[in-house]
Amino acid sequence: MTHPSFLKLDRHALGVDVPEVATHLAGCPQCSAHVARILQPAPVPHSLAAAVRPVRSGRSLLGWLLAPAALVAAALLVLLPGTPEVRSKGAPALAVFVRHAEQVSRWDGKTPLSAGDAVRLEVAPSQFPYVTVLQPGAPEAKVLYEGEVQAQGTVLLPPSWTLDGAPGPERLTVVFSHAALSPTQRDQLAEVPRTPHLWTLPLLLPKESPR
Amino acid sequence: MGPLDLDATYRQYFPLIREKCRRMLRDSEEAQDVAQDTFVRFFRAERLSDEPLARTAWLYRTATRLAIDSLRRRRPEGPAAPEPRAVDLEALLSSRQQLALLARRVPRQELELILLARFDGLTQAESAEVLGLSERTVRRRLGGFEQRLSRLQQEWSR
Repeated sequence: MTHPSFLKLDRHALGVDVPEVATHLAGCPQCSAHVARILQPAPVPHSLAAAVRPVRSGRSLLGWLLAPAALVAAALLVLLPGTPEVRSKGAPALAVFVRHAEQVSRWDGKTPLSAGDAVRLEVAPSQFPYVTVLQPGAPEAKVLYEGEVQAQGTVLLPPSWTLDGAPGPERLTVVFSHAALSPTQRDQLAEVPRTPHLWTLPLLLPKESPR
Repeated sequence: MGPLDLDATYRQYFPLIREKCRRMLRDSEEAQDVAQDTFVRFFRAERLSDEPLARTAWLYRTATRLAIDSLRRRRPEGPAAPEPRAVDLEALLSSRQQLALLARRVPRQELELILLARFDGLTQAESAEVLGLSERTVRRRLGGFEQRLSRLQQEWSR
């Protein structure tokens, strides 16, 4: 038996009239079971409204399990919709989400963070399809994350990083590029932070002094 | 659009997105994350005002692209990333790890078509509609994939 595509089945389930699908479903338990699953309403997550709120409203989207969240402009280099006054058209941008205890809260770019806080980044690559997150250090920077991203729109990077209790601010370097960075490119970022092929955003996260 | 609309939209559309993501990713948790991301984009982009056919095409296109992102981010399981032993496409697609390896070696434009065809059963005409391409372009990309797969199969079978 030849089955309709899932696209046709899904369209039928959503009320689009697809005559051959209706005929097929009458004799196919497998496809009927799929349509039944699609028609079973999904339970709505508790914080769905916060998750879908646009970024410009200063609320988080997803990833941190739909927790109430907020968007942070990181230093003056962070550029996102909603901060049009500092946005350079076409430039990559990033935003920082900070989770303190169970609260994901809006950071103003200045307030010191605490040891144990978790940090997560949302990036707007602006045509750069590759993102690398580095922790500067000697003798070489440590790669915390690297991977391809959708070049359009915004992307919440998968990992989060928990701040330790070491004194001094945390420094991260976010690099947008057209391909994975070579070790040489990573070493030269301080001297050549921006070219037509890569764009670097430094991020300084101040921390409270340990008591 | 108010909260009631949001909840109703979620109840109606999320199962479709979730099932599609499960077919592609073979991992319930990962599929849930990608489905959530797709839904958020769907709602934010206000695609509900589209015609139903365009709406479902958008969902398929976006979920496929986000699934590819997720596949490419997958880290190898275990200490070493084995090269695929299976050189048959069906076998590659049926293994989570080998699918991730394939996703990293195949251009996105070709991979989209493979996922739509193999996991969703789309015809070339349907794939063309979902991706906004001509059928000729779909055929050309699929031809490119066949050649690429042949080269990969030779490489992996050495």
